[in-house]
Amino acid sequence: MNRWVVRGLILCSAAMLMQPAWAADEQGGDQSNVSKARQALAKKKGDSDSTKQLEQVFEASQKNYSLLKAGHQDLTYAFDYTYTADQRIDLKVLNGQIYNLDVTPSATHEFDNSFSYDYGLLDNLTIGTRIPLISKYDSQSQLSTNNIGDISFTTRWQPLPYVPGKMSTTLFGSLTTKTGVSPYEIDVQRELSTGSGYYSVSGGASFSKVLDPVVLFGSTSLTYNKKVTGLNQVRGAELLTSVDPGLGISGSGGFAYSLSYDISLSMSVQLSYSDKTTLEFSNGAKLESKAQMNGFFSLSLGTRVSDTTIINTSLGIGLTPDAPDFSLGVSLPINIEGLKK
Amino acid sequence: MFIKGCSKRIGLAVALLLLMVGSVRAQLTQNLTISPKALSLGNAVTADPPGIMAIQYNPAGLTQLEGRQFEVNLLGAYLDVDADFIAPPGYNVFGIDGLGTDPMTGKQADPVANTHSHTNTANIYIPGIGIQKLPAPIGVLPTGGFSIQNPGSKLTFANAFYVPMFANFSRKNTDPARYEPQNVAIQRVTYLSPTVAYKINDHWSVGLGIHFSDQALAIDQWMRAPNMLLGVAQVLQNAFDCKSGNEPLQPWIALCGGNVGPWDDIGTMHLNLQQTISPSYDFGVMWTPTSWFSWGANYESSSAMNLTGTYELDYTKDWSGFWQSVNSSVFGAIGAAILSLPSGVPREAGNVSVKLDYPQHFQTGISVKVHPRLTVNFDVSWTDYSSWDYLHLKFDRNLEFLSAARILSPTLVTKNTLDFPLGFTDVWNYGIGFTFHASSRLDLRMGVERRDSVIPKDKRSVMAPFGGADLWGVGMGYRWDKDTQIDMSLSYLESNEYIPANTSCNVNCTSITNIIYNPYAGLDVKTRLRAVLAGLTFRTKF
Repeated sequence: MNRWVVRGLILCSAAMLMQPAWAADEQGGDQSNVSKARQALAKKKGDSDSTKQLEQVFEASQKNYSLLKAGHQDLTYAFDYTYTADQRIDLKVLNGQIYNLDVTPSATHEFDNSFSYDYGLLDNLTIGTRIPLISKYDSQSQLSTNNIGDISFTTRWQPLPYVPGKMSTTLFGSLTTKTGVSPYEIDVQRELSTGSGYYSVSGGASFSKVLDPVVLFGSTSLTYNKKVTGLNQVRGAELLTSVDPGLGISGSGGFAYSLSYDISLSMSVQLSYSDKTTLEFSNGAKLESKAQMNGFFSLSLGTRVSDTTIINTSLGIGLTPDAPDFSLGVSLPINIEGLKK
Repeated sequence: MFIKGCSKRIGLAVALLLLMVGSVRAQLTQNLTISPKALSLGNAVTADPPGIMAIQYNPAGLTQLEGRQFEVNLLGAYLDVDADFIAPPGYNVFGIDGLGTDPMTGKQADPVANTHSHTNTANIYIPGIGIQKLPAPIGVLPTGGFSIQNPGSKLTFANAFYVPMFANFSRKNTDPARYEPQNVAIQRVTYLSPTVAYKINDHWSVGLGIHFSDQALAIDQWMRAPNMLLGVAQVLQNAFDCKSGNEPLQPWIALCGGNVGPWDDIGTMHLNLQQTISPSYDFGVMWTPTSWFSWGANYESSSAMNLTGTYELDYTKDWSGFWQSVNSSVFGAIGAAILSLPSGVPREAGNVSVKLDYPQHFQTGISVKVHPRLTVNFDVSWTDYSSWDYLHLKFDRNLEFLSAARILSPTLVTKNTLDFPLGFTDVWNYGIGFTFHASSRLDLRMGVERRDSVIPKDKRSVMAPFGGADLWGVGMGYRWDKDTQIDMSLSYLESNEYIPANTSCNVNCTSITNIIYNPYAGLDVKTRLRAVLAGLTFRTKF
């Protein structure tokens, strides 16, 4: 097989793998929007666990550019830094009167250390989990937190074997738990969250095609976010009792190019659409955020440091106000097969 | 020549023993749940590190672990927590005899007076679920880790899962000590502890590790306040003859909505707090100038924690009914408005946070082979428990209970914060361990650690019955084959405290301002904690 094809496949599979997390994360990030709902949700916005897609790209590139062989396992460490700054407005409009007017600047630095473990059940079926350890610091409010984020589980299935020259397809499904600190179960004045606060299930497909020396890749996914009820959170003058996050649709596309045997470069754009989110308060009031669109552009560089090890570094730039301003990341494989010796 | 050398070393050991004479109290649960070998040597293992658990005691000692090794520890604990509540002569609140008969219930006015509390039920805290009682009085804690040292390499890498802090027990909901508390879980689980040790030369080693831990703090307890104010309330209720079901001064004053008194339950409080990542680092150094002497030192950093979680206050029908009736009357409503008295909601719940430092810890010690068959270890350790001055609870909204209490305790209570005074102090501990090398395969061990209390006399409570104690341990180490080591230990710790009435305002002060934390006001309290710990370590190469 042409070596370009091999390298291209590596990057393709990388792109495939990134989508589930992306879709779920963006759902988490859709909470702030214009209008009243935006204000009610503003505290949550910066809290959401956002844009891990680059990291997913990097993790994926360790995986021999296709799904793991049966019985093989893979552990990857990734570090991501994300910076998000915005202005949050907290107010309530009642009978034409404005209450609780408060404009809060926010600048959140998020350091995300994650461990991803994958296991090849069959040659074309891989299961995996991802455990994020999150440190967050808000330089405006002087708040910080260290907590586990939302642990997720993913299954990837490649129904047809790869045929050179043809498009390759992988189907995936993932479940994201709410092990992180929920933005709806904290004192928003004193705490930061590290999770989305609800369970998410997503499914989708990713595609890739080699056009030597470039590999094109794309992906699409649908995310269902489970409604959370039984909440009891002080939001301004109200008590938040339930949140229904609504559906999310995500798509991405990009290309990868091998500059040399040791260096490869990829560029991609992710777009995600989030349906309206409904918040219910103890006094019966309901707030709905409008549906919104999110965009994120990412560049990554894969550097081969040994025959089997590629270290990925990345830069991501938010294209819409609700996306993080930028992110930096690095990922590297941890050799656990060596423990079997 | 050798005899002369031995006598010098024995003299050194005796001198160290003499140094240890002094007051003795226990230091919470530090180093009680980590390593069987350390427990059998009085935790004097900084210079004689215990296998892979050297990650906690002295990471420099990991350089002694050759090749690729893994270790499994099983620690069994039997816990026995007792308390006695003794009514001194003349025991009363606002003239109401605590041992007399309550006209409303026909039982002893203070049902706790002259009763005995006992539990041997341990619990574990499961993240996401909370406190789970163990079905049997004996709990077994499995921990473990692995280490890797490539042949010829000076570097050793290790990682372990272990439980450095475990103060978890539960009582029945009828137990007289349920007010301090019914269930408690102060639990720290180190789930990831990547550590690297480097052997500089034949004499010196250093080690550094980062520990990621999950810290939980959960408390369920009943509330009552044998305070003069509630004594007044009961006297007034008796005067109004509430038992008859009438409200004689309605609508001006109403006090008969529910039976309240100094010894009646107010309700229950549940706190469930957690931080899933609490990072700290650990640095150790070890010096082995000769084959018979080694010195080690270890520093574990503090970890600033911000525990978050939920609280729930459920009030009894009597308590909420009483305040509802007070607020329904003319003078009651006016007084309540002025003084921010409770309105009588049956339940308050929400989110709460606590800032707390996991205290830094320093330990240093020596290990001297005083005779070909005898090694003596001696350690001193220090823990910065003075950073535990207050438990500062911040609630996400104003609580009725606090609004009323802050009038009497303005320094400790605001409408949405509550300071629980801990007042812990720093202490130095001493430990000594003896290893008798019975054969090339078998070591017999014995040790004792004298643990100074970190809780001053005026801050003692039934909740943390950690007073004066020695930790006694015996054990053995057996070299099963050239790759496999087995360690066993059996340890015993007992702490007895006597807290006379009015000596600790975390349990039994009677002043009107001590309305919170003093559910046993006016009673003499005796506490006893006994723990038997049995440990087994299996370590082998893989």
